[in-house]
Amino acid sequence: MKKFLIISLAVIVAVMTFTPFLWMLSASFMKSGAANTYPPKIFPDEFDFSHYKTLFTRLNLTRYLINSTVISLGVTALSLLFNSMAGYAFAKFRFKKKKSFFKFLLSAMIIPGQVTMLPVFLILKNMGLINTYWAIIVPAMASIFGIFLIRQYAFSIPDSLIEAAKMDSATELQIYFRIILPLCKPILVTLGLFTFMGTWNDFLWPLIVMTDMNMYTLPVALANLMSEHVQDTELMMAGSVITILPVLVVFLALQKYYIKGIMMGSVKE
Amino acid sequence: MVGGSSLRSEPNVKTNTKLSVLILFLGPSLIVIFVFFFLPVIAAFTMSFTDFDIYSLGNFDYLRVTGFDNYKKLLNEPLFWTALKNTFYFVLVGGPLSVAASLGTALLLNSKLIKYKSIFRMIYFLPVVTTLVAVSIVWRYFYHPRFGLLNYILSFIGLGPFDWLGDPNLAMPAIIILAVWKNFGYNMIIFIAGLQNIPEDLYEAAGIEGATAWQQFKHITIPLLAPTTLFISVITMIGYFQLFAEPYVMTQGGPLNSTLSIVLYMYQEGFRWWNIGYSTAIAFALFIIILIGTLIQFRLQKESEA
Amino acid sequence: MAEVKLINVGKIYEGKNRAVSNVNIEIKDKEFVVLVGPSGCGKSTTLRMIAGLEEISEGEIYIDGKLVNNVPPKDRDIAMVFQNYALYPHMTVFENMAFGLKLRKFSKEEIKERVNYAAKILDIENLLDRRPKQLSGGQRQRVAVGRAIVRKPKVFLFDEPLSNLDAKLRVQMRSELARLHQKLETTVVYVTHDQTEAMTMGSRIVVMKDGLVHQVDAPLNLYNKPVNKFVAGFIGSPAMNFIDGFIIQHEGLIFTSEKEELSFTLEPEHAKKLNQFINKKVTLGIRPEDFFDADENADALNINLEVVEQMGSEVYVYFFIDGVQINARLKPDPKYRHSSKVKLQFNKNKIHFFDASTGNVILQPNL
Repeated sequence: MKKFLIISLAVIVAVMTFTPFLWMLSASFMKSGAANTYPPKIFPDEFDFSHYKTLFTRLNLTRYLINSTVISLGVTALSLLFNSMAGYAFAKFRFKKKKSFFKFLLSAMIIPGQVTMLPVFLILKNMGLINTYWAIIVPAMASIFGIFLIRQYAFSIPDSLIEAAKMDSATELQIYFRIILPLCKPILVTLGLFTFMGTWNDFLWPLIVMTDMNMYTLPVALANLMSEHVQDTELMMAGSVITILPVLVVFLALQKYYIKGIMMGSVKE
Repeated sequence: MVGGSSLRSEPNVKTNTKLSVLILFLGPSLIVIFVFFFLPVIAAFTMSFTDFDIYSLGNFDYLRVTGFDNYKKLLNEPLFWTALKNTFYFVLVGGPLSVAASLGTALLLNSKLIKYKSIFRMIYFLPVVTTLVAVSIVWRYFYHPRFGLLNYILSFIGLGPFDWLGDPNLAMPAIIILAVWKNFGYNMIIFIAGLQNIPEDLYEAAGIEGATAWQQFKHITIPLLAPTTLFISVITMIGYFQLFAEPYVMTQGGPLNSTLSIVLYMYQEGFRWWNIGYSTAIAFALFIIILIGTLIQFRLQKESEA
Repeated sequence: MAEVKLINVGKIYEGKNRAVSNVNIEIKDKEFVVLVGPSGCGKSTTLRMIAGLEEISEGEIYIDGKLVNNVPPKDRDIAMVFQNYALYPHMTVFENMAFGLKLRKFSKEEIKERVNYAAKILDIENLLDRRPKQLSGGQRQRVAVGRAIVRKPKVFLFDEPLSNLDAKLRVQMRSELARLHQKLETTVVYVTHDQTEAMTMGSRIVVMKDGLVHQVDAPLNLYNKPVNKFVAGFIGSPAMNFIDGFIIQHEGLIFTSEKEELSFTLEPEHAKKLNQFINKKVTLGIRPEDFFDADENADALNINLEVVEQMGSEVYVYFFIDGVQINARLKPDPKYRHSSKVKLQFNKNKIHFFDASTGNVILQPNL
């Protein structure tokens, strides 16, 4: 009895969680107007792919897909490089005030990102980067959280490996690229996943720095589309599907790393 | 005497790393963090004491230092208080609901009676990774007063129909429901790990002493989970104070400003009207509120421990 | 040809804490020198300074006649084997051994040849495709040595290489390393905290404590003629017995332990050397094996045995003099039993005396 109760509870929660996705997917295949009926339909009467076609032909979605992809991959690659170098340095290098300096960085994380938005916008504007990919990539190239995550992981690499590489006549860069990076692979995947998904899903910052429609990322484009096509439920659902699908696929492929990352981020110093 | 010495036998007597190497490895990221984080924080703080606006943006000669004027204006601005009230509503109602949902589902998935846990966990987690803007749009249709699925379902138990996003009294609850749905999976994962860290024999001992499931939950689970709960409460609170995309997409802060959040207000003032000085003051007000909130949570935790 | 010379070498870290001071060692070409001492004695720091992993705060280190104080590790032509092996976990055995050669831009053929040669010597040819995780402790040890060998360095440095192995394997690797040294004919500097390892492997041993070198000598000399009480107690297992007492003049010189449970007349030739310590506190040192059964000898010690360990080939007995536990190694005999009373004597030609205030030796056995 108890078992039945618990299992049905778990199933109910799963249904509640999943229904919006199911409806989104199903509505995206409905004929125009079919989603706005009463009682609402759960499944389409017949499959209609025209909304996807419209998105990619008339509504320029390809461009936004490319924007989002380039920006997310760019941020991920560059921030992994920068953060891993710094994280490794904070874990393994020796210099004065290292610990207190790092503590200072960590404590600065309490400052919400919104505080910096206007000045960062003005800085980027001065650099002429507004409406370029760099407007999103450059400020995201390094993050205190990313450095923290790598540092935690790099602690587990024995010092003697680095020393052995030194005896093997490796330079500092060779040690980093040929020993540290390969050994940090799990955490790099985790951090990369966080960064990629975070960048892909971000809304506020792209909304601010991308004023030219051609530079919109998918979420911004979608929100913009919403204002013109609010009546076209099925079209909007198709757009949502396209926006969500890439992150969903990436997540499902690598969810083990994502879960690990949550755990690491929640470990207090 | 032998064997037991995998520890390095000497104190850590390592030589300091060369400056050039430090610059190579730390330079890039520290420059980025300085230019795009610390410098802006200082700049924002400075700007919040000026009347930096669209005119000064074109010509710095128009810029004047105005002291606390922005903050005074803020305190006298009804819209700020509305945004503040709405944000607190969202944090104080949505926050605990989210944490409760996370804990509930964590307990559910931690139960030994459930099979296929990883599948349930994955489904529960899906909303977390999906794009907020996209799911906000989906939910917007979900909340549709005439054709929305939610009202249809509620009609079976004799409720509604509700104009979720059109009614000033319902718009914020609607956003809270979306936020809980979107976010509970994240903290659920942390709670599950916290639950798994509680030694099984504590429950066995309590069971032998005749404690009911509820008593076990109250006297073992809750106290031992306290550090996890504090952590989750703090990050949830910090995140929820920054409410933006949901109202932006679903209601644009309406109806009647009932879903106008502090960040949305800041965005409008800063990036729509270019009242930059004023907007940074709003941002700092937000920072101070978050800071106080965090300190209060830590204090409460300490008191409950004492 | 590579000598290693350390002149007045010292290490101070963070400007105040001294780890090593005034180390003077001259290591000859092809010599196997062991640095030994208790943990924290500075032996590893010294080795790491030779390796170039630590800056040298004071003094000079020469390798092959060249001052290397400011030479980075890669240019010192040395190889090092680490305590935890420090194998790169993401590389195969072959890649581990080849890594240093690759970085030094050796040709592929040359790398292959050298790695195969080393693998052959170490009998790990069948492991070349494996990863360190798939190897046993002893195999990892061999790979770590192999990684050092392929480089054909002037000097090998070993930092407690055997301490992660179990006792049996340790003994086996000990002789293997010794054999390897003979085969490769290179200079070896070897650090260990285990005096047995030091005694069995080193052609010379450097005994260190608290950052100072106490004695540099061949194994037997260390054993027979330790320069102070620390070396005497550290080298040899079971350790030398120490009894505090005084030298008294009374028809020649007499040693009397503090509680007067032991007292004996010193040999005339010893007496001469101990003249200046009359009425001063000294420490008598007797090695366990210098005790022997006294039969009915009148001059013998009457002893109450506390613990007896019959080993078959020998017997260890424990008893108290002045409340200090004394250990003696004797020929096996069933009469040694717990709490049996026996008469023992010790070889007066082999006793050591130390100045109780400084610990320095004042009388060495004449051997």
